[in-house]
Amino acid sequence: MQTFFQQVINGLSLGSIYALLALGYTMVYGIIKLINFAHGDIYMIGAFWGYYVINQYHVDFGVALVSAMAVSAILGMVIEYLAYRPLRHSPRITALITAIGVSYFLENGMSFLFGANTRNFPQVIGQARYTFFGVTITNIQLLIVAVALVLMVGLQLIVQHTRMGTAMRAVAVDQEAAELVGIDPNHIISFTFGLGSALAGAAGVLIGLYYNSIDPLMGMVPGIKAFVAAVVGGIGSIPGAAIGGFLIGLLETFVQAIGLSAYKDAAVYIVLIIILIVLPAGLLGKNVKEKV
Amino acid sequence: MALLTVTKLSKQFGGLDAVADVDMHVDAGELVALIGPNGAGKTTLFNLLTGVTPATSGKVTLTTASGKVALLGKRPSDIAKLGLARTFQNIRLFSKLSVRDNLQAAMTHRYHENFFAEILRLPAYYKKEALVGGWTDALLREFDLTAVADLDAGNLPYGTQRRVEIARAAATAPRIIFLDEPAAGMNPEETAGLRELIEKLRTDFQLTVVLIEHDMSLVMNLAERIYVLDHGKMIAEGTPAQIQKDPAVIAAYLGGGVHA
Repeated sequence: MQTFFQQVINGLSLGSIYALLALGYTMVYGIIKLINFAHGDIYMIGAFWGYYVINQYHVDFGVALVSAMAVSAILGMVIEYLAYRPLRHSPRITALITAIGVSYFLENGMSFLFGANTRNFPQVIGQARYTFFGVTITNIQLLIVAVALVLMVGLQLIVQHTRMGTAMRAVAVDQEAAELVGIDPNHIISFTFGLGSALAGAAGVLIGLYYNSIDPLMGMVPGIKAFVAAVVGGIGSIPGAAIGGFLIGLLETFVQAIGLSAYKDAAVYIVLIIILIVLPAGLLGKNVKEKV
Repeated sequence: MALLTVTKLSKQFGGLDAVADVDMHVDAGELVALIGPNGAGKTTLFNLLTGVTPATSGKVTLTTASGKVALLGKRPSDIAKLGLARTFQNIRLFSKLSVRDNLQAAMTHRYHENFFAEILRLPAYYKKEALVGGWTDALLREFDLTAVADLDAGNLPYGTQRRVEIARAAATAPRIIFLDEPAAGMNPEETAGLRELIEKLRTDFQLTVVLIEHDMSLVMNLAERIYVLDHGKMIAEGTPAQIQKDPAVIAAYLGGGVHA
């Protein structure tokens, strides 16, 4: 039982990271129906930014987190402006391939400029362990879950209770009708990329702190797993992405705990296949019928 | 005085002239109807005027407080900001948003957006919120939607959805409102309600209305002037009485070769 709860704690910590990433996928998909495969690399840039400011300017965790979110948000908006906006009226597959291109560009660009080696992420917060009934939780894990929850609640408030959020939801339902009531879709799409990328940047700093190591390719696998999380939750659904993220984190941790570490990635992809067959719309997604 | 002037407006889809050399004008405060057989190009004309479809050639000029503005080539959101609002033949509400949010989404260009004031709940936010809330409540009352304000628009009955869509168009604070077959699929009772609503747009909201409609009793009773479109060409223009007697119009509706 102790082992079980221990794995739940570990799974929720990892799941928080996936959930933060999955939110970016699902929001961008909800607005422009694009799977932004470069999203995992924004998470990598967030981690590198945290690494850089902590080492160079000796800032504390809070400053590193907030500045990484700001830098990632700006990067996300720049990528949208340069790479995706010119393709707004092209076939969807064109933008999708471009997203893969942007992903390679960021990964290899970072390797080229700063080297491909793995770095130790500076430990700005001294680790402390708390043990309750034999279950150990570290302060870093608590911090990850807390930051993730605060950001998710914040996101939900922005989407549901601000004017920008209302406009976002309107564009997600019917972009053309939204334009015809005076909403500038470029403005809203840019804002959406900014929000999603800020969450990815936060996740990057948190994972650096958790795993202690970062490298330019660190975004590839978590990026794909977060995408799976978004699909499991129902792509386009914000609460769905959060739930999907936690589920994937828990699944991966449990697969590892029962001694199948080598298959932890495979397990995630098997879930993707099963979900696509059994519940193509995901847990919270609406099954939209194509109009004839 | 002409509020909207359309000169030699054309749209070709491949080899098809969907709209060909159309001239029309709409004066401030007028209620103009646009009729014609199915496939005549009425909705295409609306799409050209509101910027949804780019025109092949021609000119569209809107008279605003700061002079004449050419509309062609502008983005739909900018045209909406200049004061052209519309509804759709097949209702296109933001179905997953509440009625209130539908209206407020249409007001975004009417106030200065300040996201940081909004998340930090600065005084500017409360001021703006009171303003937008006031506009919304007034519209909900005018269109008799107060009772359904917090329901998802997609779950409302058909006639109510039509009303929400017209209210949403009115929420953009337009000068001209284009209604694309608002009475389609309505029963006689709902059509009577719609007629009152259109009257209200003109009297209470001081709007100029351009109406596409197949319900001829509605058109003949409401419109001051009628344009008739057939195969993309404007074949007649005049008062309801003139249009009813126009041989070209009768031929268009009943088929060629009929002599009235």
